[in-house]
Amino acid sequence: MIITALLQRQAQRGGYLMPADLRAVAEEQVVPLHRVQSLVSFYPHFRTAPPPKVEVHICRDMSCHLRGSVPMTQQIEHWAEEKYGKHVEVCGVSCLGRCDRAPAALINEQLYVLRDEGELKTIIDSHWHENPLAPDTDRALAELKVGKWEMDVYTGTSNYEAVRRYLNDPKPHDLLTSLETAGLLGMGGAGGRTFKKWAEVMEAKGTDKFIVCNADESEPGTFKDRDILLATPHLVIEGMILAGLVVGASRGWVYMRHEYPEQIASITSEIARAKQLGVLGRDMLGSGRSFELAVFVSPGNYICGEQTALIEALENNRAEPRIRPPELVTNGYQNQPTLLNNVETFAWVPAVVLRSAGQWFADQGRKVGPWVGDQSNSMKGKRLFSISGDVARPGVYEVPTGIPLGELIDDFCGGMAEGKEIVAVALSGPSGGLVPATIPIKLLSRGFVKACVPEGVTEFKIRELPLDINISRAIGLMIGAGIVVYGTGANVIAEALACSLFFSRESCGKCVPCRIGSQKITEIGAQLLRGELTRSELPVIRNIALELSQVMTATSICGLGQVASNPIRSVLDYFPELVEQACRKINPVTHPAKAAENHS
Amino acid sequence: MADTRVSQTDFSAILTSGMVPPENEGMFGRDINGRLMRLEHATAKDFDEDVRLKIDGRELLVKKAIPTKDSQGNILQGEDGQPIPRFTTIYDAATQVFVHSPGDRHPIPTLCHKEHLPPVGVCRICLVELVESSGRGTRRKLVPACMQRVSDGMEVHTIESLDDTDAAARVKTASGVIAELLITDHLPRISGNTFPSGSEAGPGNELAALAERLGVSESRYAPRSIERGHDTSSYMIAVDHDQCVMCGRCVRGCNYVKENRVIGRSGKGYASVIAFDLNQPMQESSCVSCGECAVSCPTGALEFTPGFLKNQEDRVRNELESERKDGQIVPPAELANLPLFQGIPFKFLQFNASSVVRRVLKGGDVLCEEGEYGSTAFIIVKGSFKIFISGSRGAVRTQKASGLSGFFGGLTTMLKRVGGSPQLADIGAASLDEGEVLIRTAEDVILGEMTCMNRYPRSATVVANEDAEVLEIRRNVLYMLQRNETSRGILENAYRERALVGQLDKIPFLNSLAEEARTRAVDFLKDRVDLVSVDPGQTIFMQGERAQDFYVVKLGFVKVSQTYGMNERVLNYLGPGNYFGEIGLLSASNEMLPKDGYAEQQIGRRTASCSALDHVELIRISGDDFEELRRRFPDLSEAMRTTAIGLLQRDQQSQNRLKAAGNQDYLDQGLYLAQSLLVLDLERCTRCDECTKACADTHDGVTRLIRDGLRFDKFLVASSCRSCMDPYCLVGCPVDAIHRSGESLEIKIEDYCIGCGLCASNCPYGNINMHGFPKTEIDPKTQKEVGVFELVEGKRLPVVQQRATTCDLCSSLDGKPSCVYACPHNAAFRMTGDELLRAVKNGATEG
Repeated sequence: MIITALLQRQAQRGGYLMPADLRAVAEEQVVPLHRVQSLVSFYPHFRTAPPPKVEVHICRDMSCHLRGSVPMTQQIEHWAEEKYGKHVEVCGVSCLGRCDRAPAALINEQLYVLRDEGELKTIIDSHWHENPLAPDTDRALAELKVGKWEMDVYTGTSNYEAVRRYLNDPKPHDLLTSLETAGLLGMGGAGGRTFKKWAEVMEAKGTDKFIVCNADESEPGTFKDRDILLATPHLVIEGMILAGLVVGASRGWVYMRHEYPEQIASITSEIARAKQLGVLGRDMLGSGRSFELAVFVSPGNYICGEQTALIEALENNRAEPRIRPPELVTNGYQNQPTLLNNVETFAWVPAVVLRSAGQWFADQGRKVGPWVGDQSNSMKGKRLFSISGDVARPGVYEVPTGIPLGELIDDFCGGMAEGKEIVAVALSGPSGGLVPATIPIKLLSRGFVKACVPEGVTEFKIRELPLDINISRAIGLMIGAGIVVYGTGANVIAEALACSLFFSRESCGKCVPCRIGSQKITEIGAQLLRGELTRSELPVIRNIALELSQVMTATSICGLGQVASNPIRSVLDYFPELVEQACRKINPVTHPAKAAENHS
Repeated sequence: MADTRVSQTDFSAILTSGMVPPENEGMFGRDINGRLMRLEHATAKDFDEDVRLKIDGRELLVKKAIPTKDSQGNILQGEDGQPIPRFTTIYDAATQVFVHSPGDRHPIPTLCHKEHLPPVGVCRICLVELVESSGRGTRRKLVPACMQRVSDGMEVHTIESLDDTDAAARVKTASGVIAELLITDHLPRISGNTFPSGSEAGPGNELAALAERLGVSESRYAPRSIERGHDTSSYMIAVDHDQCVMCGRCVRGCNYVKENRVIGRSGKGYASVIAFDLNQPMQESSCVSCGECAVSCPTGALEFTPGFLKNQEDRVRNELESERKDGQIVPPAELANLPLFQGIPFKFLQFNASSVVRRVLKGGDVLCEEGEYGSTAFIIVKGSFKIFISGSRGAVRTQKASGLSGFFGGLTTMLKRVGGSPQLADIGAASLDEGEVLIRTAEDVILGEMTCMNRYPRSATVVANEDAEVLEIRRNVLYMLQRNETSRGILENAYRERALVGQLDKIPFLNSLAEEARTRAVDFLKDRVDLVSVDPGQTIFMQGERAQDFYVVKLGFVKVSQTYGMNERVLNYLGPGNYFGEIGLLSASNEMLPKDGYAEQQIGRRTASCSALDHVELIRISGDDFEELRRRFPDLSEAMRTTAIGLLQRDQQSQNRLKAAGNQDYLDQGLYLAQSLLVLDLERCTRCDECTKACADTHDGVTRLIRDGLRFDKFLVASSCRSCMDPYCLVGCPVDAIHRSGESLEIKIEDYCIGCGLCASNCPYGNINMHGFPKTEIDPKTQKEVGVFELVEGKRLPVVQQRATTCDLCSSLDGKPSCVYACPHNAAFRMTGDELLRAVKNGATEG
């Protein structure tokens, strides 16, 4: 347990590691020094220098970026350096998962929602004087959700009915059939069929099997798991226990990001409660079956959310995605069959099982609407969306699968923020790029257009997009759990560039197309934003970017590299006028020749 | 971004619509019914399983698994003595079909992959397009050929596919974009947007050559945005992090090939770098300067410093001059052009710039003499050579094992000349009668390679037959040749050809046949036998296993042992010419019966275990062929049966008579291999330590012996080099600084030892020690060795370099080593392992 050993030493030392600590860990764990170095330098949660007195981490992604967190960070950095020197460290960090309260910051690891710079300065001062202002909490928001979601069959208090029923009469195939009837899809992004994954792990042969819950919610714009882990931790734990029983696993982990301390506490105490109830641990309810669960706190990095990278981190390696095949379901943790699902996937399982063996869930979902075509029967169940940006009430909403995006915005979020119209939407965090309010039909998937678009229709309104993973995929758009709406006044190119920067910063560096490609595509976006490209260069640049994007998608090892080029590519594809305009902004002082060409 | 090159490649066949990433599952991860296949380790039965696939339209049939090899190309064996299988990859399959000799172009370019390293699939240069057709339609995907396993029905397209030019274009565009990304950041520009071609960047830069092959000479992308720095702390290797492509070849070289475990990766993403220990400067890390990382590096990121290279070369030049050896050092650039050296990393040739010497001989000139301890091999460039034995000096001679009995009976065959036909290790373990002459030419490629590898004395004299030319190479070069599949193939074929064809009739086990029958037997065997190499200590078969094959020892020694309960008892040591494995086979065909001393429950099973004592080469005849041979030649069969019965009875008797305990140390400690033990008679020794002092006095104040060690009766075997017959210490020296030369026994460690410590850890008896010495260099002006100094806080201090030391069997006044000469009590002796054993038996020393 090298990572755990390092985290312990860091805590003992007072927030950092000295070379002596690294040497001691290498010796204790009987590993070469470079192995320890490779971990300490990879995970952002490790420090090798004493921490400053006040550490200010301000989110720089999506909603927070839209609210001006990046210039705010620069100003505060300047202010803090003048006032406190090196004792106050201010820097931008990747998404903190508080997009509904943007901009957000962690100050000495405590959450603060920032209204303006003045408030931030006051908070920093209070930390400097060792009398910190009360931090904001996630609990306050999550309290409002307790017992409100249909997902929570127990409306707030659970006695683990589904586990009890299963242990009383264990029928793994019946449970799998319920999942199949329900049509429950994986909620992590890829949208695989849950019953299939469970069945595959059940059938896979191994000396042991493991269950992993991916609670490393780090995708910018996505924060639904944050609320689930606080409002309904019992559902997650129950889903995991059922999974363990069905596939025959001996133990499992909830892999959690360290920026979620309240959630870590919530899950830890729910595990303890489940053990006390006898539905978890050794000899559950006297059945002779045993299943152990533990929390694993991630030392950081977005890439840990990639399923194989997460397993690598669990195994004390750099979280670098594995080359597949093999898949985790056959060769996962310690090369044994491993079932890895998202928090929400596990959380839906009790409702699926207890409510008419999956039928209730299958009956949910919006079966009719424009653009649905012959897919109406595949739209089943409900799901949770995190929505933020320029809507009136950003937050986490449980909605029927397949409702149009417009309905989510208007009926759940109270419409757009005052005076704003949709300029762009990020449908899957930064991964699917930014799409405009209306998309010319010719940019949609040819197969979809042929099958579902009536003659004469030339535009697709994004408000009409059914929120269903399969339909949107057919259309040629990615849909994820985190939606960010950009309204009037947003600089689309700047926002897309921020998304591209996110990927280039979070690339683990294992494979070349992602490590270098994500830099180069970001640089193309930056040149566009800085006004360094002429209109005559544009067609060439567009093709270079398209080619690079296609190669990154086709050759990167994992999903990060495959989507890393999407933000810039989406701007070039969907926002041609904005791109043209950007080319007219060439600075005649820095680029006189180009500026002259533009005016001619 | 002035460049306007834009590809028109259509990726729609492999990418789904728009920006949606491809299916989130590996291809060929499911079987034909869509069921996921658990990827287990390959098993022995996969060696025989055929896989049919198509590469670039060409149908081919390969085995599902191939044997795992180490970095030297040796087949790795598991605990059961069988090769460890690993799954065949697309790259392996393409190698089998498209690459036959060095320099043949592989259709799949690679960067992070090297055949001697485990694949990691990170650079994505070796992409191929995989097509899968099933009832559900056709799927296409780009996959790394170095990692993707072959499976039945696979269709593969490389950049050179003429069968599907669209696929080839996609592969080429993808590999090209990746190469362009790599040169943008990691290939130093000549100027502006101009990059050096392969030849301009120099033969050590694989990245430049790769980009050239893929037609990439310019970059359309923004230059590197960060500097990753340089590390010039090491005198030997310069690190330029900006040129590092993070292929991990040095990491694997350091951790997997050399097991030094110093280099790893540090940092994340775009800023990640290779790092020594805790990301320290190389010189301050625990790096032992073995050079493997630089040799592994495909770019200019890890390069030998010019100063280091020059100094290495100067030393060898001096040595050649001082020893008045004729010959001329062959520069690396010239070597790189020879076909045999094509697969060898250029930086290795640089590193060992002086390891290859050209020797030009006239007819009658002697290349090497029988009995010499050589450490080199000769690659024949032109001319022919006569090979003969002089008769007066013997090499390893053999005797039939059957006549031997007694515990150490087998050993005498190793240590003493007892007549019979000598096996010429150096020319394919051929046997040669006195007066007989063999001729070898360039077709035979190489001479003397077994002396070079196995460190036996030269087994024959080689004289130029006409004007001739050879390249004399050192062991490390030969090792490196073996790393490369094609070079290794050339060497192996030459060896196999010589070792088998034309030499079969010399195999002693056919002696019982009449001349004519013998010729027929050889004819029968010719295409049926194969040659097997076994590493020291590896098991050939285990007692109780089902008997499968029959073996004849060609080279080296095989230990035959039986287990009784918890104890292992050595039955015999079989040298060249002896055979084994027949008893199990005979019993399997009911030729051996319980009345012959064969236990009923053992029918068809091995009665003993056989393992290699040193580097062993075996002729293997399969059980079926053996059966057929016996059927055709009943005389042979009968002779074997009689011998086998004798052996079984002997085993029975010795089992009753001998007690193996007591002398186990003698075997375990490898004393039977020793040619010069320092033995102290403890009854005479007063522990005055004069021997140790004498040793220190002779060797600059550093003793090379420790007066402690194993005891046998009243004798102490002191910790001092034993001059083993097969010294393990010589294996793997990266610069070949440790060797045996001329006719003498001693292990010599040259001044140009780089202090990596490999020999010290190789010596199983702890007889090589590392010491710091003031570092010296050749002064370019005076051509003399001078001390190297550095300024430390204003003081001029000598630079200390680690170097290995071991007993050099120094001569004192009366020709004995100083330690023996210095003993005032006549208690110190130098003797062979055999002599020691006799002394223990007799209770006295002979000398």
